[in-house]
Amino acid sequence: MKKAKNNKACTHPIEEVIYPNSPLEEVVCEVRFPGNLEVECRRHEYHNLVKPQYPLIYVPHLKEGATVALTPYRFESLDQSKGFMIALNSFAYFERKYQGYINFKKEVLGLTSLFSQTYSIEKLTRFGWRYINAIPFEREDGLLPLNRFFNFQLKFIPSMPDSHTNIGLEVITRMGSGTITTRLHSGKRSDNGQEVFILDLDFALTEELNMSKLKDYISESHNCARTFFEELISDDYRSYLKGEQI
Amino acid sequence: MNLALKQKDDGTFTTASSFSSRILKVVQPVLTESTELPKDEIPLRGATKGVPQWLFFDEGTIIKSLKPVFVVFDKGRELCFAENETLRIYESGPTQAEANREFSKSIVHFYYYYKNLPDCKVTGKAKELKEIYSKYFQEVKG
Repeated sequence: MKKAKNNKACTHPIEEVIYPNSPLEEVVCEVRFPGNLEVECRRHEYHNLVKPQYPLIYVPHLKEGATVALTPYRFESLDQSKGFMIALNSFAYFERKYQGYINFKKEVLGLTSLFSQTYSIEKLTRFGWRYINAIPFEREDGLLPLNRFFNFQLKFIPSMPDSHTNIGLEVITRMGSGTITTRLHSGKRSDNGQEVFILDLDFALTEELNMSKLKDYISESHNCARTFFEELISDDYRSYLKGEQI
Repeated sequence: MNLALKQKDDGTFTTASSFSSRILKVVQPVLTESTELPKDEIPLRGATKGVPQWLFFDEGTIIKSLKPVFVVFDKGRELCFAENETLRIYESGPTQAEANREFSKSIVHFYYYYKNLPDCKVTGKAKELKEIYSKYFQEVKG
């Protein structure tokens, strides 16, 4: 049975703003489809079509228990700012230097169109749209400054103090015609030790999906995830994202 | 405990203890399938980055900034540095947290310093700083 849409936010187009101080580390759009051996056996056919833009090839490192065919090959642009991944049942496009929704969407649609033509893929099993944000922070009196950055109060019971020293949350919420998985963790970057909040928003659709409606899925996912992000962050932090700072 | 942001096979990041991760694996519903990410670790975009801050402490005194103060951190061989070019504050300490504490104290100090300085006694950069402190900073009553 098809679930009713339960949030109007996802259907309203939102204003496209690219923040100068954006915390985005990665944006990923992924489609999954029923396993198709052609994708694995004729990987080169697709790569040959896009090789000028994505010449770098990364062969997967297999971890114990990983399945060869389901672990994606990765192809990247020369500057490594963007790329795509292919496995037996998935295709994903990602950007590390996000150039905004319009450019991202254009590239996703172009690459997936070529991909679906090459391997005759129509039916999809999952559509995912994921934003990974790394938000650097300094503690205030040893505590996480959650309310400087976010709009929510973390209180499981009324008497719970507002003095959090670490956070690790994962919430799955039905939104629009899909679900959004929100992961919020505090931790240290492994490269420079800076403490950060990792805010990971993963919007997914799983019901009655077809490649021909990809444009609609992208639009809904972007609207849902962006609306969620905008409502989650505080006005103080938004002003910083806009470039207002001393 | 070092909370390095290693991505696990299921797409989540290892920031909690391995104990809680094991529990999560047992109770995780099947719907938590994640959109695949391209790398095992979050890549570094810029060499040195700063942190926006709004509150500054010195013992019992708290100063709030209406605009975020962008504090740039850097690491030397023995010292860490916390700096803001616009406010001309450059502090250091054995750790980033210590350097930041000193930075915070400096903001509180200069807030009162410029607040108490008569307009007729400031010119040039000092005048500019006095304007910034009076326009964007205020005391927070405890």
